[in-house]
Amino acid sequence: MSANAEKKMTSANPPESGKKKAVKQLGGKYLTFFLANEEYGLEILKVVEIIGMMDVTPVPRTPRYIQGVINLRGKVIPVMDLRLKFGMHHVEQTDETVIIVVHAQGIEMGIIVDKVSEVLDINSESIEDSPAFGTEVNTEYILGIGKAEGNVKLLLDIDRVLSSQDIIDMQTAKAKDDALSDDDDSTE
Amino acid sequence: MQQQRIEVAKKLEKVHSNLFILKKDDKEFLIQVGAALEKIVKEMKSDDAELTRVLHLCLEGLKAIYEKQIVEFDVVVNSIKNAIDVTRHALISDNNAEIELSTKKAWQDLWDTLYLNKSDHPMNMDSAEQTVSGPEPGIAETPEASSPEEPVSVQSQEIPMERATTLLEQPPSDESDSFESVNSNGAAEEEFDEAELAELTLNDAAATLVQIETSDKRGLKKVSEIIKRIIKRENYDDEIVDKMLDAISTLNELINGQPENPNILYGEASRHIETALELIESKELSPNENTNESAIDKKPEIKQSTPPPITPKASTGESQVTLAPPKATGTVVPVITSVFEPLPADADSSLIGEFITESREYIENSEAALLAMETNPDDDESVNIVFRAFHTIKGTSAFLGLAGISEFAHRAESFYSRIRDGEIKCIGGYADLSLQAVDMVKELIDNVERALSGAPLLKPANYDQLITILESPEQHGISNESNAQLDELASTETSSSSSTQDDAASRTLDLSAQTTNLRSQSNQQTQQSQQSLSKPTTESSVRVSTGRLDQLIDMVGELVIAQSMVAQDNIVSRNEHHELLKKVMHASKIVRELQDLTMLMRMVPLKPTFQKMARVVRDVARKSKKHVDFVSEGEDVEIDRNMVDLMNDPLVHMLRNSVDHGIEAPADRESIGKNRKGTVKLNAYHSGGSVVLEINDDGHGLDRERIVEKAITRGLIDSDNNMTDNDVYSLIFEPGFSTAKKVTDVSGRGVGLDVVKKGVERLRGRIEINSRPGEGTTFLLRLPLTLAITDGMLVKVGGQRYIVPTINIYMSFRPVLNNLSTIAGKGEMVMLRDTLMPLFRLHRLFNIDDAIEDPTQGLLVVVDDGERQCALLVDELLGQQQVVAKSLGSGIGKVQGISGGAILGDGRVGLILDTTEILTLARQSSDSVSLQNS
Repeated sequence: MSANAEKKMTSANPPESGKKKAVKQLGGKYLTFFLANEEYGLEILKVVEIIGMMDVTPVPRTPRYIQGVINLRGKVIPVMDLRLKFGMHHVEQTDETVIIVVHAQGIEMGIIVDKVSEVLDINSESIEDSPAFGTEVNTEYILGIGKAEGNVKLLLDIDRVLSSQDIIDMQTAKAKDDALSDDDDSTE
Repeated sequence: MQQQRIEVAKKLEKVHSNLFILKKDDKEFLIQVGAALEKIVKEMKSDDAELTRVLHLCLEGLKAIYEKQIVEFDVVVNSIKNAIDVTRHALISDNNAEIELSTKKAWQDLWDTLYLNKSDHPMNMDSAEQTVSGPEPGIAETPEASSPEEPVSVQSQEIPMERATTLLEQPPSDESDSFESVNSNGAAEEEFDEAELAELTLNDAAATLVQIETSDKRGLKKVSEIIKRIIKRENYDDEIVDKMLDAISTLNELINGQPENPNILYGEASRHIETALELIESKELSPNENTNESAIDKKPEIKQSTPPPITPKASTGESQVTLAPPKATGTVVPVITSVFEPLPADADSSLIGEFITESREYIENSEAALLAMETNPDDDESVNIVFRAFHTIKGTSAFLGLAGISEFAHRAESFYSRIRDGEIKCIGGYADLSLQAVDMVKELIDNVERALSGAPLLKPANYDQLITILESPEQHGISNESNAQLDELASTETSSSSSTQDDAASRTLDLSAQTTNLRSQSNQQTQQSQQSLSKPTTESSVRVSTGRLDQLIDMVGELVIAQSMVAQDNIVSRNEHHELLKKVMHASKIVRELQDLTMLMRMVPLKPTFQKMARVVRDVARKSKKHVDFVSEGEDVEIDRNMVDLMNDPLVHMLRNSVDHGIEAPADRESIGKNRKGTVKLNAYHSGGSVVLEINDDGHGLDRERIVEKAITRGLIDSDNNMTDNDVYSLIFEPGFSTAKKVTDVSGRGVGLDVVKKGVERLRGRIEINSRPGEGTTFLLRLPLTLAITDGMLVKVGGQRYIVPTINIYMSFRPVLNNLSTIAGKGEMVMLRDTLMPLFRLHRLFNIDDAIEDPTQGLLVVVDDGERQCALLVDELLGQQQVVAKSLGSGIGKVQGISGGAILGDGRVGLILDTTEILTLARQSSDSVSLQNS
């Protein structure tokens, strides 16, 4: 692992967010899950547990990707639909839909994913920087791209996913507000 | 060098800790400890002479223990421990004056204890018969005949203080040598002891007295001997000497007689000594030129009580006599400098923590007792409570090395002892002073607590000032006159009580008077001693962090839900498995009981809060020069611990308001035929699942006209048409609203009642006012039992369920079409019993699609955001439920309109609505602000 880490330091040195990634040791165990056809990887240490889909209480006046809140053994935790967060289409939940409870940045949150796949050990040398696609594709939530078993896993920067919320929250809430008053105006 | 010192200090620490496990009869271990200590002594550097000296003495002490010469093993071991600790401390810290002082003190203490505790001590039986001359005050005179050596005492007086001081710096070898000689030479002991006696100060006498039991005649004898020698040695003022003689005679009575109640005499003696001490100090502060002369004049009277054979030796001024630190000058009274000494470095923080908790309890009790005393100045028990509290605090703080506190407590104690002895009454100015003293101790203790966490130990601002006032309240213009009403009561008492100055003139008279006084008080004292014997039985308790408690409550809440899910499961509820159902029911019952129990764990009685309030009322009444009786009921009503603090502010403001605005001035009251004394009642009781606090005054009531007038000038209302009394009264909760004609420092600035309202809202409570002109005002504070549990109404909006706190709901109704109207096609309004209120659609605010759109099909819930009522449209009410409010988690941030979530019976999360926010939201988003009636 330490050797891996060293290699990583030298190999992964992307231009945009080089600082951040150089410091991080990307190699390690990842929980992989699917959103549509894409397979994502989530640092295993950030995962608290995986629970089956359950009744989610919607919370009004929150961003669309905030699905609502659930009761996790007496604790109320918010749940986010990762598809919506990433701007993908919403799909009906299936038997395989699960909530991964993650804990990062002092925030505990559930993320809804299509299905979980496995826990993988991904070497640092098999992790590449996320390529830049320009403005079309936003890669800000991607730490890097891991290659394992001939597949590509998108390694998720969950810290960012969770913490970027506040800004969006406020924006969306405001937009919603505006929409609402517009709506009021128009209907009444 | 420094390294070596640290080494030695470490070894000393070992010895120190060994002493803790030293048992009385464990000779082997004792030898071990002794050997270790001896080794250390040998290792000591010559420049640490002072410390070596102390250690030598410690060694002596251990030897004495070994030889079984010690009467009170524990006391001696403690002193040794202390001395070693001080030495250790001195070794590792920089040598400064403070350390030096404490070393000297430790040495002196150890010395005292050691020689006081020797079983073959000569003074043991010096002559019990000799002093048995008579238990009456007369005894003081009796020994006179047998002790004619007057010149001796004069001689000893002449030993100059400077000399004593310089002698102190002498090399320690002398010192330790002399100890050796004492120990090895039994014969020399008698005289040497005399030498020792001769150098003890009044302070030592007082200290010794505190340490001994009333039945310890030997000890008492020693104290009286010490005092006798002091009288001879120092040329104190008549006054002081008189006090000392008083002490001696009381002590003699205690030693010789079979007093009905030794405690009372004991207390008397210590009081005399303390008075003398104070007098000495005040004299020292302002040296009186006459002092010398008068003291010498007085001499013939004084030497009387000295036992003859010993005196000459004691006072010949040999080196032994003067070797010891000149306590008489330096340490008669510990001088508190402008900066408090730091907490002792070795301070056991857990011990101090205990002391803090304990002291706070004492302080609280004494505050209550003082307040009780004000209404009933003859309540002896209350005086005793206060006295005991200060005594304990004094003792413990001294033990912990908190000189500042012990010093203050000591002063306060002497002051309270005057009250206890009936010299003064705890009324008027004295009562104020008493309470100030209590406050000061509170502050001191707070400071210690802060100091524990590293902050410097600060000295409260008026510390010195208060000490001087406590010393002689009369000179600072404090009397019991400030309370006119109690004056008559008091005057009879004051005339009989004499100030200390008077004592000198008629000592004998006074003594006999005091004796009778003592007798008359014996009943009371019996009570006291009984009290002190039977310590208050407190329930044993364990401190648990609130975090854990909350967790437990959460878990139990979950258990309840899980249980109910089991109970509602199809298999169980289908009623086919009868046995299973029975078992599940049984489990449900246990779980419910468990839940009740956990809820109770957070509850604390209101008593401490009420006690605080009593103080508030008293102080405000005093400030606004009104006479107010404070009556409280329902102190045992329990309330959530978290709420107690939040409740404090609103209560204080309301009580202030009642006293300052409600109750009229005494003269006004009289003129309208009311009792001069107003009454403020604070009453707590349970009512319908909530706690009601009732604050009632019998003042002039709210003035509707004035409120309306003021409200109109402030632009709050246009007129009071259609306003009920309650509406009008609610106006006083507006920020900045005050009907007081003049602003006092108590109230009138209008910041009071809006604080109340906000505070009460925060507690999810409600406030009501009832008032009758001329008869008084009653505030009703309705608070939930706990903040953790919200009493909620479950409402359905489309597919969603929300919880509306019941306390915010006024009513719910289904409107008929006629009652609905819109303004300019936008703002919806509904008419309820002739009141028009805005209607807001919850489904629209929350963007819920499948909800009922037609108000006549749905239900309107009338809620209140504190300003005015609004109707919220929901589909239907699902029922009432108690829920445990939880945050929605940090991942989601603050959601407008939602105060939190709660787990509902089916395990799903229900959102708790924040009605105030919802209404704000509704006003913002619907454009109807301007359309609301106003």
